[in-house]
Amino acid sequence: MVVGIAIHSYRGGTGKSTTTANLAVMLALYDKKVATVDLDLTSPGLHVIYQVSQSIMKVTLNDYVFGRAALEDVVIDLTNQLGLPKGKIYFLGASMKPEEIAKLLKEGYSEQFFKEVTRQLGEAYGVDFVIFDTHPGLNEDTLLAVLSSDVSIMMMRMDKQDITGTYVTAQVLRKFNKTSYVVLNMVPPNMAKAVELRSEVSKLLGIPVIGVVPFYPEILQHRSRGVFILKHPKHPYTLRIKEVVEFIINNIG
Amino acid sequence: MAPKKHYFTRTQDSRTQELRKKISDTLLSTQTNIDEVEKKVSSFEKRLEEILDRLDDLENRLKKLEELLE
Ligand SMILES: Nc1ncnc2c1ncn2[C@@H]1O[C@H](COP(=O)(O)OP(=O)(O)O)[C@@H](O)[C@H]1O
Ligand SMILES: [Mg+2]
Repeated sequence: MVVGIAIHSYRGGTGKSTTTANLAVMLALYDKKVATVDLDLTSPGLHVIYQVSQSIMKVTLNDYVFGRAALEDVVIDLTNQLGLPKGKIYFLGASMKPEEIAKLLKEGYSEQFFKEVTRQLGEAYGVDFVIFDTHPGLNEDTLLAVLSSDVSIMMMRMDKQDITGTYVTAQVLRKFNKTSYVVLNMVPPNMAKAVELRSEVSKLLGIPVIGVVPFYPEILQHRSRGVFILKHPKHPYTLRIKEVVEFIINNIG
Repeated sequence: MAPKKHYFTRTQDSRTQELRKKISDTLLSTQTNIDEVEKKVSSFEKRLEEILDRLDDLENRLKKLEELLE
């Protein structure tokens, strides 16, 4: 069974793309095959973290959606480039051309697309997980991505706007009985030390918190120089990502 | 023979648009009581503040204790 996971957040800049790439790599280190799909169509960023240049992405997800290209022509196998000793990482990039983005948002987004791409990635590549890096917010298209996936992981920062927005989003997801989890990201270090943080946020949102990731200036500095946990396997950030991945493997896989 | 490639064929029947319609209907019919949301979030923040103050206090006392022991 292939599991589709949507990484989502109420606001932008909460660390969706960073988390998507690092979770995927950690899952691969647990010998999993993972496809990551850039669905933040209006501001794609996953390719930057993977260090994939736009020129390599000749064929994109947009071509696949409109039947102009096969899945196999879109998928980029990053396993060797990332130097992974085991597992597999695949990347499906979206076009950065405004006309393509507009067309996809207008006509291409459907529940059927999410189900089909997940199923075909399972069939063609034997992936265990498909992770969708989505566009933030409570809009129809993003909710479609979130609700078409098997589970959603919401990224949240600990500021009032994020907390309020995530609370409202959680209420909407509850109406659809969506299995959802929350990962707190960029948590101020002093706050991350509070053991009650997890249970307090879970109680507020009615959604389990499966990870608390502090703010580390090194991550910010590392930007676009590859996947952080590969370069810093002993960093506390890596341990926090590992904890989330162990939850995923034991409870969602 | 090369293995068969995978293409996506879009179907436009209404069933594939069902979820989109449900999302749209749900969003439009949601009646959010923003005062209540604010209240919940504010009391959460207050609790968190208290927890952090306690933690701070504890750390300060630990530091003093360490200084005494030195
Ligand atoms: N835990 C963290 N600590 C410090 N910086 C982080 C952390 N997580 C993400 N970042 C940084 O925050 C910025 C936004 O992250 P990104 O993943 O692009 O967010 P999104 O995809 O949600 O817009 C990036 O510069 C990233 O390096
Ligand atoms: Mg992003």
